[in-house]
Amino acid sequence: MSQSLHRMEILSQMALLPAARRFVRNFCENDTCRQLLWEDLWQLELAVHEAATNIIRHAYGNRTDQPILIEIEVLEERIVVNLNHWGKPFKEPKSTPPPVHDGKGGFGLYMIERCVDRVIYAVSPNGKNTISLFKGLGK
Amino acid sequence: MNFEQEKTGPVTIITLPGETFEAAVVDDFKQDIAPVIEENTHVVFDLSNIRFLDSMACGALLTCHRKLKEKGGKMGLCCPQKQVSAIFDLMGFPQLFDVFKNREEALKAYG
Repeated sequence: MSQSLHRMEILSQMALLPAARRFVRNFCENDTCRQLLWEDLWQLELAVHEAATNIIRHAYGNRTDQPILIEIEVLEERIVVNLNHWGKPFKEPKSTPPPVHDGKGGFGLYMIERCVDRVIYAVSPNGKNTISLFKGLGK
Repeated sequence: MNFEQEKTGPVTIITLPGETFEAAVVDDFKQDIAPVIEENTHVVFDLSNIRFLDSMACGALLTCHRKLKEKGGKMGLCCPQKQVSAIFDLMGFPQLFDVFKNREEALKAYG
């Protein structure tokens, strides 16, 4: 059962990503998930940043006037961050290998996979797409 | 991107400005670093100011590394903060780059 839900909306601009990271950090430091370890917190921030970057670049094709709605929810033993957008939906990516071996990119997806416990890509019939990032609390 | 550039013998040390190195500034970085990579052989990036970097920044650093390596040069990173070191570990960078605790170590290795 959800203990709290916080929302923030940003426009699809790279320059606004620090504000999105701050939103996640402030929530985690001030709300019910204080038990999030230092390492878990920066990993969650990084995963949110990378997911939002992918939305801006790939879902919105670098348009700067589109909405990204970020929701944070604490569900008992885990925190969930939903990044909602109304751009081109993502296909569920295949598991990505470490990028340093080929130098061909894909770093963002790799980082997201390494930083959170689970990622779900959802598409709704009304055009809303959601990337959900799950991170366990108090490991 | 207004980075500071310092040459000591064969080594050029670039100090990245600001607290973050991320997607919003990567294009500027790529544009401004290109002549530095062109003109120098051994380059060290001083990351002491940086407390956050993302995949786009990592990609830009990998590109610099590849270009320097292609012409027989070396690229290292120095003075990473705790979180940046953790991101490097996550990306497997220590297997690829020389990561130095401080400038002195870098200069000793490349000088």
